[in-house]
Amino acid sequence: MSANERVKLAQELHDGIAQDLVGLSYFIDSLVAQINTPDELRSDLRELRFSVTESIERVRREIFQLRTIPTKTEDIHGGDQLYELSRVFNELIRNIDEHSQASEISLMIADNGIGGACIKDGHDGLRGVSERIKDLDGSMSIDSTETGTRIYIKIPRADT
Amino acid sequence: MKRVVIIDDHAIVREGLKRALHEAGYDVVSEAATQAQARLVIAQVNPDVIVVDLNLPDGSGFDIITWARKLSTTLGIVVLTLSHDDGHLIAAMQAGASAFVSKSAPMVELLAAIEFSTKSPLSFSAKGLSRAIKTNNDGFHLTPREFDVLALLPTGATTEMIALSLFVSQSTIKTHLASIFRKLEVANRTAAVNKARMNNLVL
Repeated sequence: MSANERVKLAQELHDGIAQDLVGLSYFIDSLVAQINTPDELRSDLRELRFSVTESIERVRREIFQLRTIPTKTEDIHGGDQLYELSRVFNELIRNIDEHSQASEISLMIADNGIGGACIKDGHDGLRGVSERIKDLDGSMSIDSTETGTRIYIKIPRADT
Repeated sequence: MKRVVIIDDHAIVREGLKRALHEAGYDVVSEAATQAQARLVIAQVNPDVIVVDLNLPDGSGFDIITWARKLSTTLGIVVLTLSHDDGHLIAAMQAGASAFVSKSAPMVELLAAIEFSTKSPLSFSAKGLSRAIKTNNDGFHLTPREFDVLALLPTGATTEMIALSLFVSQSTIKTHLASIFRKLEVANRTAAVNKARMNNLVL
């Protein structure tokens, strides 16, 4: 996505869904405050308001991230490159899903960086990945040295 | 019963807010979706409080705040915005607002701000004010007026159009533009808009 597209999307989110959610949250507040609202319903409404507020915050963060575009051209380039790569990945996975009839999927991602990738406290990214793979009944191994990192993932294909 | 005017260009926000304020014992006497409507309505109904968004289709809310504060020192002015930007908060204070509340804040916070604004309209209350003052030292230090001009730049308005819209001379706008460019360290309007967007100063 180009910088302009990101700003445009942020604007649409800001003027559309974010404001709709704000309006909804005030509607809920008015129901909570109404004297003839039963107490039970009131506590449900409070929970609902809480969820809507969380959604507003999520959209707000999303808008902020979309608009906080890297300032240097090389950063934009790097960002776009990784974004493109994730699109490629999505397409390949979609192909497997639709056409392969596979019963197992393996994945290997390697880089020639400085290494140091491991699951430890304070590094929630890899821990999250590992937990997801476990949830999928899969396995994951990490081989990271000063000449680079190789991550192997294998999961059984779920019956759909 | 305190009389309130809501200024926001989103109908669903106005409608929800109207209901909630009504339940809380306020009388929402009128609404406006643009700066132009807001001026008209405020002059017509002379409210106790205005609740105003910073993003309006024909400019920024700062312009309305400055104008309304000149008109009345007893009017409560509450800014209600999605922005959490410290620069916006400081500019709202400088423009003469009485309080600054996030659109994601719970109703009690907004009600407290409205109540505060009627009691001490010339003071200023906002969550995170002291942090904003501290961090604003690293910011761009735009004045409310400069925010007004900046808000009109993405619309492609000419200097003449901006001058007309803000009721000042073209040379005044040129001075504001020069000051904005200097503060944002940019050379032209396009670069100013880009930098302002990246720093969440305008949408």
